[in-house]
Amino acid sequence: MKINYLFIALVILFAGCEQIITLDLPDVEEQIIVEGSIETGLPPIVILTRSIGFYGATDLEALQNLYVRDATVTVSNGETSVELLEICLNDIPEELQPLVAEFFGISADSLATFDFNICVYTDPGLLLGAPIMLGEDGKTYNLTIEAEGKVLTSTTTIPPAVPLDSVFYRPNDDPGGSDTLVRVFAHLSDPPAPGNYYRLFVSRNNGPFEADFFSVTDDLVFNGLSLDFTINRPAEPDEDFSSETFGYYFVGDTVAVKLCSIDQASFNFWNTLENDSGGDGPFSSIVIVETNIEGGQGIWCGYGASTTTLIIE
Amino acid sequence: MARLLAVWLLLAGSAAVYGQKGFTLSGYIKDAQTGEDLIGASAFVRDSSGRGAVTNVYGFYSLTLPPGSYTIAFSYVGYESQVVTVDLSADQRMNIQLAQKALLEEVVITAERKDENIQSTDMGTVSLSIEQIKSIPVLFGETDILKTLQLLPGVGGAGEGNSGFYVRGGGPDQNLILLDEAVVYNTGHLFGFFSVFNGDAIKNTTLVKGGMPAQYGGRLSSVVDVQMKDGNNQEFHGEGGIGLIASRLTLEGPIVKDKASFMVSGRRTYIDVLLQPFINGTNLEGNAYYFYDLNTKLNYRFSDKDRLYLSGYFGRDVFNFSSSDGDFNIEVPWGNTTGTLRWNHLFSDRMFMNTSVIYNDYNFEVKSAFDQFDFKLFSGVRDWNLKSDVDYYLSSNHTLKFGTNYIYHAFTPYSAQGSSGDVAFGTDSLNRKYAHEAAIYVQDEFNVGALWRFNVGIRGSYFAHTGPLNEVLYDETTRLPLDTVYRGPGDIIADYWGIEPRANARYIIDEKSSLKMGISYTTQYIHLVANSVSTLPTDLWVPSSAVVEPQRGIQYSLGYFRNFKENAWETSIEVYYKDLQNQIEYTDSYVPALGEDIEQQFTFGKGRSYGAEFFIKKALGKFNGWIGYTLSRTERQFDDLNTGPNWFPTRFDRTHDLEIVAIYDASERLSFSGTFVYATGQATTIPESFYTLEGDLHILYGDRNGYRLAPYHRMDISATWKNKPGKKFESSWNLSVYNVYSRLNPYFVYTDFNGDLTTGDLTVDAVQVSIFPILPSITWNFNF
Repeated sequence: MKINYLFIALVILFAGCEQIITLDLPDVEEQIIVEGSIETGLPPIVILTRSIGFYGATDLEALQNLYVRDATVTVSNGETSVELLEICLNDIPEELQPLVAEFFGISADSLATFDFNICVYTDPGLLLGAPIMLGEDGKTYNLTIEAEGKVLTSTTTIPPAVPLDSVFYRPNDDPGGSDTLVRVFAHLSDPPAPGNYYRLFVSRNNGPFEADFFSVTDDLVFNGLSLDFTINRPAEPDEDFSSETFGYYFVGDTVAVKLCSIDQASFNFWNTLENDSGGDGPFSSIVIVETNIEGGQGIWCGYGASTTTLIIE
Repeated sequence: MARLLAVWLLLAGSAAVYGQKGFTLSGYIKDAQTGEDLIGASAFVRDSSGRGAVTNVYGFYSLTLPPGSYTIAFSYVGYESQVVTVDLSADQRMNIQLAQKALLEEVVITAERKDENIQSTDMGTVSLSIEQIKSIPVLFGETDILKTLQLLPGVGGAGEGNSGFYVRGGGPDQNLILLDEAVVYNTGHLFGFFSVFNGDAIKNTTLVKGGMPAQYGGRLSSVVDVQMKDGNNQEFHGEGGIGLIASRLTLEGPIVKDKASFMVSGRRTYIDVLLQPFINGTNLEGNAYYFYDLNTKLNYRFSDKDRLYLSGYFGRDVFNFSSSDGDFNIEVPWGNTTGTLRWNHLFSDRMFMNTSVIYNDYNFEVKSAFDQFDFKLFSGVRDWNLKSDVDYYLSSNHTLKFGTNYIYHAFTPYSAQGSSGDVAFGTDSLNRKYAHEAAIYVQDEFNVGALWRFNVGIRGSYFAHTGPLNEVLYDETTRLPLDTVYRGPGDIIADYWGIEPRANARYIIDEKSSLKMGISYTTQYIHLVANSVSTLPTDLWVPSSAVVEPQRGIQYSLGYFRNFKENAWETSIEVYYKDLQNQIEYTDSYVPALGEDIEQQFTFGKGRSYGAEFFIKKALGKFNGWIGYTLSRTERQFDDLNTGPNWFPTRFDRTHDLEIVAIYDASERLSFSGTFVYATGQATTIPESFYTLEGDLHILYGDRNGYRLAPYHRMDISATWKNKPGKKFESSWNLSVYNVYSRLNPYFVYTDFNGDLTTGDLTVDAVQVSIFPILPSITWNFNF
């Protein structure tokens, strides 16, 4: 963060010059990317895609073809084992679509205008309303994927959820600031033992839960402490940055804060993913994402979730 | 300590017994006008014996000869020589004052020794006077020692416009950079675009890139030894300049004529002032950045035998930002402080001792406030250093040097203090780290027969990381802190030692050419691990510890030196091979984290570097300059990086590196200079493919440093016009153009994602950023 500010200063000093160059890249083998999760009280969901070459096509048809189809995906928790069923968005009942869409980070509204067939692997009982496996706090879940001649494996746990003590707001205290804006805070009591890892999601006005740019933290600095922290409002997809409204909620908003406990490997994945700046620049360095998938890339993440809701009046 | 002292006394004693018959001619060689000591000036006997001496960094020479009558030539580059006839029948003190030459005079080749490069055992050693450095064009017309050093073969620059440098494949932390003997830990202002050395305060700079003599230690690759001016002890003078970026003023003069003088020099940038009109009313309003530095030096001569010097440096970069609504503000100051107190003492005409007490400190801070959240981050390193060195001139061809050195280091890792409302938190468990570093050395330079000359030395070093420390014990698998154990001030947490033999030899082939060879072992106990190319204020020095072992290196070098046209042209070819152990990098997935000891993110491996350096220099005449070319390879191998057992090139691996420097003195008032550099593109890691996750794109990278950016090349020119000198006041204009043909050299490459994945109009581009196009600048310099 500090470096970013310094970087701004540098850029104003010396007007940089940018040009698009063509990288002379070797042929790279495609990798299978896993985006899988199991959350307290929810069935496992796994999306399988392929990596795209740097100069690969990214039109909708090409993206559609990234889905790895016909894979055998198995999740077991030591007692129960379930082979997940491949469901594509076009095939599933409409009431389940928002759940899947949310997982993909698309709002229900845009889903209506969305001409794209998302495919996920999930509990075969889900469609029948009788899922076989729902996430339970404290359990470990093994994932095995067989697809396109490759075998991918991973393990994750759902650590016990740590509920927030409270979510509250304070009026905008900027001189001259609008009184329709408020700042939202959460109060957390971190358990005494070190090794808590958190991922935070926010839903505004019953929209999908969204993760911020930096959504994870460990408790190394605040282990065992009780503290307040700011909950920023996720920016709308087409919202321009404004320092006056950035992070503020509006009076009348309903804010749902979902704090998830995750395990260390999951934390390492999200932490490295979110800190990779995408360039080997002079003020940043690349971060190789620490995946927990053997034989592929991506994440298999257990969420010990607890949601707290606040209505701003 | 007591043991060290005993050895030291023993050496001093045995050296005294070792003395040979003869009488000693000794003294100081100085500038006649300013009284400044001349470093590296020579006193040579005008016969065919090749006997002579060179002044040390305090301008002292000592020449012991059998009784008799001698004609001695005292000379120094750019000064009128003096020839003195001496009847040596007793020890004799002779202080010499040399006058500066009028610039344009064609150089007359005399019997004086101009072939120091052939005769000495020095390899890979270059000395640059500030006049030479000032005549070479640089970015924004700001004289910069470190950028000029990059124009020498074997020295690579850290990037566009950057003063950071790499020597023969060594990392940026492997250069020992000394300002009046004080270590300068962070040499860059503004991310390294300017070095901390203000040219007006500097007298001399020496770079040792190979065959490091035993008197230097603690770093693997090189030594840059910078000496500040002592201050004119004859009359009061000033000099200064007004440039695009910064202005400078230096004042110097006698406190007591011939006995005591002072020098004070300051520099400040005014980027903040210049930028203000452009950013007022924009989002960037509230930003300010500037840097300044201050050099001071005082010296007092009690007698010919005793002299005291006090010198200091203080420099700061300051960055401020506050958001227009006052919600958020941040202040980031950082910089170095150094202080050196030195005492020169002559035990006899042949034994010169210097004892120094040195303090240096580097400090980085971030203070920020956001809403009800206050935050302070700081890091740094502080040293106390005690050092004593003796030069013992046994005969005209035999010099013994020995000395000892003790440093007390205090390191502050990234430490944070914060408060959120009423709750305060901090990284108290990661408190400072303390270490003791000690060394003792002896080196002997002598002739064997008429053709061989040796410089043989050995350095013994010891390092202990001690308490007080709250030592954090980590779980081996989860790497989580398990427990904290308090270690008291006397507790040794880890200690290491090193035996570092050094040897250089010279063999005279004929009067125009010689062959030199060298081998040196070096040990480095403190480390800087950088995960980016620039010299950043956040760069963090760490000591060797229970986790981090000292870096160790060995360098072999061989050189052929030959002069042409009565020493007007100097040429050399040097080859080297370097082997480095316990090199340090961050792990592939390193993310800076507060509350974690940075050591936990290190991984260890080895390095190697080899190359050939070709150098042609025309040192004399109206038209002078040099051409350097280096062919080299620098690689590292780390088991725990994703390259595994494979060697990968470092960022600073440059297969080809060419530098051309040309200076032309057209008339007494007008001179021109130009430089051209070419280097193989920087090795970097680039994205090879990407993937989508939670609706965002993420990158899969290729091999570490597996890709080469476009080659770097650039030409700079400058012209200096001196105004007609007045009685006391002289001034000159310097016009320089950086990057004459506006080459868009790659600074870095990033991946640019445009469009929206969900609508299918996403594009991905590799974007190359270049920072300095053609940049003219003008500077007005004056002196009185």
